[in-house]
Amino acid sequence: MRLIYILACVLVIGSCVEEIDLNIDTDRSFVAVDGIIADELQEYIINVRNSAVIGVGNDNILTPISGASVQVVSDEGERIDFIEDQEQLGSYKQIMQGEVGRSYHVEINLLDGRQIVSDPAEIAARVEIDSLDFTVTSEALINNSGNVVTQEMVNVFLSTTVDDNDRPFLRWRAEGQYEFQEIDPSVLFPDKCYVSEQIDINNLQIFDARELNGTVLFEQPLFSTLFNRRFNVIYCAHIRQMRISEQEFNYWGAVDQLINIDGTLFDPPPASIRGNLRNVDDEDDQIFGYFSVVSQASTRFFIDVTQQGFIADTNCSPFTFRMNPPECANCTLIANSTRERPAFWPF
Amino acid sequence: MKKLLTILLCSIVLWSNQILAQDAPEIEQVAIGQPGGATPGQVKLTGIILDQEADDPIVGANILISGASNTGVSTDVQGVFELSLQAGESRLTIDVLGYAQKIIDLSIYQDGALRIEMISSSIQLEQVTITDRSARDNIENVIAGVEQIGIEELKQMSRLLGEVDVLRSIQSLSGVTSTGDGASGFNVRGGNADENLILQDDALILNPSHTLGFFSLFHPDLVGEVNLYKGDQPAALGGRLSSVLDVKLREGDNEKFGVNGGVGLVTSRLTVEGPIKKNRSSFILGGRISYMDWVLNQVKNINVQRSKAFFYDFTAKADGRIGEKTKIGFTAFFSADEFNFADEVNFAYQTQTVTGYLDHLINDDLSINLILNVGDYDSSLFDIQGNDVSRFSNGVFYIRPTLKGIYQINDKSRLNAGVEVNMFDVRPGEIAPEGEQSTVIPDRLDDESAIAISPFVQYELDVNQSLSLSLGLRYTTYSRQGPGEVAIYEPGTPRTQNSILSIQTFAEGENIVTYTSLEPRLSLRQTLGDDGSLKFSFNRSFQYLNQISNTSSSTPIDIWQLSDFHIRPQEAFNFSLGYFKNFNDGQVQTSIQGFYRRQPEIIEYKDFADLLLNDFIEQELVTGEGQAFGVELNYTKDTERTNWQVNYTYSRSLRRVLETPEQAAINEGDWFPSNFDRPHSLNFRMSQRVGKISELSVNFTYSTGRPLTVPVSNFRVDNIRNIPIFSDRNEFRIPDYHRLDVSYTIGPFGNSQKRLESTLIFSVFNLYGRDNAFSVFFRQQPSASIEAFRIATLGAAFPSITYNFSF
Repeated sequence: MRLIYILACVLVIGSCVEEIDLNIDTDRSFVAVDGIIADELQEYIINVRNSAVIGVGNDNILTPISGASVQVVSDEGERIDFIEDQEQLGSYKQIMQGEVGRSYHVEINLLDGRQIVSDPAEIAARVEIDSLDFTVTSEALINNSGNVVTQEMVNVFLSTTVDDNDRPFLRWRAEGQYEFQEIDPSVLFPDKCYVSEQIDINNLQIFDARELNGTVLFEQPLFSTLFNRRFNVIYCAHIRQMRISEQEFNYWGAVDQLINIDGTLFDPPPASIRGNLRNVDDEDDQIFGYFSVVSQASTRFFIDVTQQGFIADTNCSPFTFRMNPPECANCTLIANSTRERPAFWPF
Repeated sequence: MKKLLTILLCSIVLWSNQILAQDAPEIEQVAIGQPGGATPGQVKLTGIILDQEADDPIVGANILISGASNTGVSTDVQGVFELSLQAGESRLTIDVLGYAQKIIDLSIYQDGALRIEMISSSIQLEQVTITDRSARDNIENVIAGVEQIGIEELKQMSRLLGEVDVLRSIQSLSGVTSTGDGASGFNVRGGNADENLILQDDALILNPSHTLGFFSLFHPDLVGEVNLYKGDQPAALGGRLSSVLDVKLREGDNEKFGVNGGVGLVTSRLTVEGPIKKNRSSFILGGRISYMDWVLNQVKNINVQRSKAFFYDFTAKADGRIGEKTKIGFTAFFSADEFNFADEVNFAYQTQTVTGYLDHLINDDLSINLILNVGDYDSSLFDIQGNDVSRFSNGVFYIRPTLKGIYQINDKSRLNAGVEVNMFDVRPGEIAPEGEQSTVIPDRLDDESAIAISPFVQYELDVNQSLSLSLGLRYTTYSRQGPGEVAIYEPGTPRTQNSILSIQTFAEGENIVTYTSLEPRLSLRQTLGDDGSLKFSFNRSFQYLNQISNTSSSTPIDIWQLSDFHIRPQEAFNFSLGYFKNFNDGQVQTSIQGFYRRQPEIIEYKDFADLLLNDFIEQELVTGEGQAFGVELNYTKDTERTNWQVNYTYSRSLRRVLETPEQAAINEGDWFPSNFDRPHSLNFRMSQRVGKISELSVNFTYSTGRPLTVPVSNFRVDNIRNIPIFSDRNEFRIPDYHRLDVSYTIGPFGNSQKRLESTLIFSVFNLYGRDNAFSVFFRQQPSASIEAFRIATLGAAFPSITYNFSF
């Protein structure tokens, strides 16, 4: 049988994949900026960090760059200072509201004397969300053991209408929040929690409306997430539809390619993606990241699966003979949970 | 267990040695002059070699001389050869494909002439020792960097699944590499795979691989001779920058019918040949088929079970004489491949060519040769899952007539002149939805047409006994023709959609752009004593048909792109200098060759180039320059029972893309390694006859890992985590490649009097199970470290057994 498997490996590229250590011994780190401003009044964050070094034991640790001077500058010369959060070093924050039709860029002065600026970008008129919808579907997936398993998924779709003469570039973000009802047989009136979660990590959703046939983008898939106890009561998806520049669209398109490389024969050779930031005094100094200047339309979309006849199991039994997970009796044990009911919660 | 294996092996060896090999050829005695005659020292022997039945001259017969003189020559277009010999006793061994070997013991003491008649024979390749090249070929051949592989050598080279393979065999030559096991194509002296002109009986082959590169397209039982021109290329051949792989198929037996074939683990092959009219014409038919699906179904991996791999090919060849001076023939070839992975993606590609030829001897000094090749290559990629069920296809259709004449000016010079025409019709890409549920929008790029007319002339001259030269000139007029559209861009700005000023439209047949190229060729050979020579070659070449691919390895669906208004022809200057030295009467052959290639204009790719179905593909390309240089060392020792070959190559293949107003630099404009840069390469091959009919072959190959761009850092923007930052392009390398193969051949069983003959081949490919990386890629989860993964296409020892037969 081993022989047969080897033969199969010969014939089927991809079935003989194993992790290897390339012994890349570098300690290269670069300045990476991650920030956004929009036309809504709210607190915005600009993160200034050193990129994580790969292969020397501290993968994925972004070192904050503290003590920088960070300003957002408008095309009329208005300068808005972003203040470093002393509890989150490297994160610079400010409450502000961008103005449609105005251009903005960021200027960052580091303690080592380097000045980093972004390309100016104009806030274009926002594109409103028409409607949101969801479905619950059963999908056949191949699990880690190579077996086919069926899993129910909640899929969220968005519809929007664009101006035929001003076709935008769009990007969507989604964050989730759900209600969790404690089930504790020993308590007469169990409590509840409201749990926040990021449901679109590395889920990049962008769209070039020039590709749209007509002016209505109908039922654009936004995200899919596992159907489980989070949908037991009600689930709220916070959806943001951002209108981005063509430059930013191209940037995200490249990022999308890069994070989806799967090692096939047909992958293009990878390369680094430079954003819209540069060192004013040294063009060869590689600055990574992106400072986004967008307009955005936000909405909350409540998903009640019972409307479509589905009931999600909480995995918490009301009967004492079954050993429940501890969060069934104390939902504050769930990460990012609170007992404080959000003001917008429907009931 | 070891004891059992030892006993088994010994038994096989002893058993096999009981079986007699072929009968020895008859030895003829010839005397010219008497000892103590008037011409002491060197004497001159002129000879002609003829077909005994037809009395036709035999071109290309090899005459090996051993004795007082050790040398070798081949007959010219008139079947004539000329030799300078030391007076005394010599043995002439004459080998011609399709004829019984003849040995003449010659006593020669004065100048003389010899008429040798060869008897056509049924060729049992395992029986006849075909000396594909004489012991002095490496010294005498004027062209540096030409590698010839004969049938016997092919058989000694590495076998995968028991099958001799032309592509894998040439990859064991110095200066030839590939991107890994399973790669389509090969790389010569650091060049791209598409820079090799591949011909099979003068038919253009655009994809020489089956099953994504695990088998080559060439039917091993039909291959007569393989010539790889790594350095200079004859003026009659052109259109590629790196090399010419010229595979000649053998003619069928024109005397009696024969069948041979082989049955292996996953492929089988069959060849039938015989006379159409006895001694005047012959045919040969050969086919191969794979049957791998049953194997895949046994694997407990759902992806593998749901995969399929299948290929077949068929070759038909016929040759015949019309009168005494005309020979005609044709070769038709068809091959098809299908590869399906886990019901997700499916490739299919096929090659079909037909070539006809006519050779006519006008007089004793002049012959003409007319060739017409028509072919088509088509490849498809099926996306067979989800809402994007679709079929992407592309291909090339070509017509290639060639007329050439060979004029023997005198016994020291020869002229070869003619004209080659290449007409291409490229289908750059089409995508079509498959089924009603597919949401794919059909799209199709316009077909592209071009014609290249290349008159050429090659003059060969023996200036004196030690100095020979070959001068060639090829002049190509290339015309890219409509229909088509050309975008005119704003000068001094990068080519993007936004910088298009206008679009020019061309009607069918209208000339879009014309390029002309003058391609000089020069080869010099100075013999140094009896056993040495110094060779120099130079050529300039242009390439008008390019494979557009920014993947690490060639793939069946790579797009063929004609040079056009924006994509200029690629150009290369090749220089070779080699010193060749033989020892022990040619038993030991050594050489050292240096080469340098300069490419003033090459195609490189922008980061994340979008090449599929792109109307303006020039927007994804950048122009750079390239250079390759290196040194190749070869050592061959050939004795009656043992053959050793060792070669080592040090070579570099570098590229540079500078910043201009139209394009950004790559790697800050510094030279960087090309994808095929593999500085160190070592090949070792040993064949040892064991007993009378058994042979043990061992092959080892090593090469530096190919260049790789790796992530060195990562960062986060918004909800997207672990966005990698990569090193400079090709700054790092994948692990080195090495592999050891062994094969043991027993047979042929029986002899020429018996009806059925057979051989049995046991082989182990990749004996110590080296996990050679075909490619390395990087995978990361949002909250996990980035990981490097290796795709090993052959990660374990791979034994096989093949039964070959003929009757």
